[in-house]
Amino acid sequence: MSTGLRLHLDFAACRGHGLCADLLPELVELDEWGYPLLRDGAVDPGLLPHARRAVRACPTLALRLLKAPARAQDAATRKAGHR
Amino acid sequence: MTGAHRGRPRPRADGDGRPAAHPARLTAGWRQARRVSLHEHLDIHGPLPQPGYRRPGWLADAVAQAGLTGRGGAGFPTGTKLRAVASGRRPAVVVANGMESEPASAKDHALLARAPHLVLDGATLAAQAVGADVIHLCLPRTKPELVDQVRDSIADRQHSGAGDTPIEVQEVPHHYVSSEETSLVRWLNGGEARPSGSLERPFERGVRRRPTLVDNVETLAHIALIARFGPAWFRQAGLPDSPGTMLATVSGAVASPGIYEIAAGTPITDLLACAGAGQDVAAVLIGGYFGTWHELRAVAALPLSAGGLRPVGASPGAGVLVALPEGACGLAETARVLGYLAGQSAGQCGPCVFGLPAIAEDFAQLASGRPNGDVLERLDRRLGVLTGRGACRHPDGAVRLAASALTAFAADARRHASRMPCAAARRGSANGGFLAIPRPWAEGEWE
Amino acid sequence: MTGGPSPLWYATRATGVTALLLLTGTVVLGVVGVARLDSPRWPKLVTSALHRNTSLLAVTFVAVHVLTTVLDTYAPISWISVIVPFTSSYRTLWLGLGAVAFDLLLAVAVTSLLRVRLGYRVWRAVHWAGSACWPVALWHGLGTGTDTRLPWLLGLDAACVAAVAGALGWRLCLAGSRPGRLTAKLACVAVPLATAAFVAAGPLQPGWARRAGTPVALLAGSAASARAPSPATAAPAGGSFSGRAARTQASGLVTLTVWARMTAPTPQSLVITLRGTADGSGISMSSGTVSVAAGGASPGYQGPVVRLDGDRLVAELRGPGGSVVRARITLVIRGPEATGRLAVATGEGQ
Repeated sequence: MSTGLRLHLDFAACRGHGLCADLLPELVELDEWGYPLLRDGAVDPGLLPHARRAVRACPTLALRLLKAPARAQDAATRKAGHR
Repeated sequence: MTGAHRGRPRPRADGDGRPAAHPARLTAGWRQARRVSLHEHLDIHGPLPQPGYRRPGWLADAVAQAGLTGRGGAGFPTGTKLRAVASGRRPAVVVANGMESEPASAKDHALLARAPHLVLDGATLAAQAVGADVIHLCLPRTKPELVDQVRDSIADRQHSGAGDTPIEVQEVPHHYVSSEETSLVRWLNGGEARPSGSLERPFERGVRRRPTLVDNVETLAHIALIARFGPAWFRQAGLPDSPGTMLATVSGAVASPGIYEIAAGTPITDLLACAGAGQDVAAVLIGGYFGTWHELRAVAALPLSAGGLRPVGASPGAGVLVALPEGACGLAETARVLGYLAGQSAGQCGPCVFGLPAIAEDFAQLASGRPNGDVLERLDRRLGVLTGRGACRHPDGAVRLAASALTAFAADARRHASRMPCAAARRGSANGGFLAIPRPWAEGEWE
Repeated sequence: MTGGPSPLWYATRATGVTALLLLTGTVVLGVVGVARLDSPRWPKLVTSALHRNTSLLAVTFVAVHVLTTVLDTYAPISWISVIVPFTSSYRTLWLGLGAVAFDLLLAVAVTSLLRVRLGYRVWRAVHWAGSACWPVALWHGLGTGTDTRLPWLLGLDAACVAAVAGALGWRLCLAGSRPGRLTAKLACVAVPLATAAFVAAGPLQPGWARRAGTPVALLAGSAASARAPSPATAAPAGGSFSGRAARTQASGLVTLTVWARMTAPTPQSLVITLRGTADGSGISMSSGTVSVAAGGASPGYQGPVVRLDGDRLVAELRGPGGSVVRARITLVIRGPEATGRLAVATGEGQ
């Protein structure tokens, strides 16, 4: 049974503190500059408490849990965002 | 003709019988260095259609049937956007995007300078269609003469009583990312002209939290003609999945660089012939600085349309085509552009702030033939992690450009990486480049 | 009002000191977190969690500190003056600072709990402003604290200041130089020095309690002298007295008045008035009063005569503070002269 929730990062708010990667290494890795790489897809039910904890721990409130799906929506809004 | 052509391409006079140039629609009545006056505009195109007896959604329906897509680069269906904004509960706002921060594009500037009334008509009609009570025409702060000309044109209209939605000319800071629609909305709301990472799109909540229609000025010009002549007329040009005409800016190794109005879906080789390209064109940049490089032989026969270019991973973008001759170094050109794009970051998101300069540096090393370590491996790794990790698509565009360069110039890339750069790269940028890099402008000025 | 400090007062002082230590720890952890100190054995996560837990503990101790302060009747501090600064009559300024610190702490706590709803910018603004809670709490402690002079507490205060100033200074040095930073670094040195100067000129000098605004009724140097009353309210001292006696008669009633003075152990004046009917050479008393005043200050202790037995009389005297003493007087009258002895016992009895 899927949680129907996915991780979303507001990159403008993220300052690369990295607490999310410490708390949720299964879904968050840090790139070479210290910023999160999120794994796609819905969060597993077993990882949900850890995901919530990671969201709470973010010092800048950049990490959020949103309702999936998003990929299709993101693609559409991406196109619309062009100059 | 000789060597590189720097700075803005000169706008071209209208049709002189070359096969690819379509009978003029937007470019009707264009003459060198002259603006089409209101009087001439009405003569050529006819009066501004009044809603009259037609029901409120008539224009959105017509535009949807016509299949018009955004001419600013994203190619989003315009009719859908009009309907989405019109369905908002609060009075809407129209933003006409004349910023054209893409250095290789000059069509919007030409359109505003030569045929402003088409744009103003389109904006007025769009405002009526979405129920907007104000139009913000956004122009770059670095072009005061253009701003004055447009203001004159607006004044002319007021005196002749064509449309009563107020049009406010806004002089916006002119950074590369400032022309992005969320940047304009943010600036109009009193903030900086930087993209916002908000999950709410402008068509839902934009200027003053009202539904906001942001359209490129060329798109609005097409709306002005669709309103007069109907969707069937619009579809007489172009392809079924890419109808109508478009303005393309051709530059680089061509005899007559400039703006051409072509039917959407014109084969690339035809457009190049139109602009007087020689036999020595080896590669083309399609779309803009956020577009893609291709070997000419891979794309020559392809139509300049979204559907036609998708198989090779390209898109018409802002209608930009740059021709690179045989002796030039695509890697060096790309390195210079990446350096420019890295400097144009809004500075809000870590991956862009750190990643773009990193790949620009890698590309500079590659271009000069003096790489540190395995630069191709590094680029491969970094290009894989920069897409989709920012408040806007600026890093995505840079990554797209870089990745396409590594594919189109793969043989060169291998040689450069083995410390055997090509002759052009060794010559350096003595004679400039084919891709113009704008002079740095007011870096700290974002408001 | 009188009666000396209770266990609640001690609890207030103890929890105050502990809360200050915890607040110091919270601030230092906050600064370290902002400076992004990180190592494999001590990830940022630990700093962040410790900061949060220490702050919660600090809030708890502050809550107890406030509770014991208000419940304790030794000093007149009401619930209102906890929240509204500078409304208490007890050391108005210094206690007011405590109220300010309490308000700031409350603001930080509430906004942190509602962080997600309020959004990052609002939360951050309140958090930054709320860090002023620490210096305000420190000055509150220095000015209000009964124990400020104690060497070990002075040392503790100095250590807290050093910890925060050091952490801030180190963080500022890490961050490089900008015009605002230089001012901040100077402040890290200047403010502790100013605080030390204030402590030396203020709380460490005698008479600070009065200058700080302790109500007159509570003024005392220590717990022992709080029980020793001032001369004006001291019970009369026993001793010999001598003076004059006069006898008047009006419509069958005889009034005998004695004015006497004592010199040892303290100067006191004594007035005895007896009324009644003559009974041979004595009086069958129907009423009488005794008043004793120290050094001539009135009103002194006064009260009725409750027993007259030959040359002995017993009176119950009440002082201005409300305390009651029993006076036993031996009175000898020879003509116009009166002599005798006064013995005083506190409380009831006999």
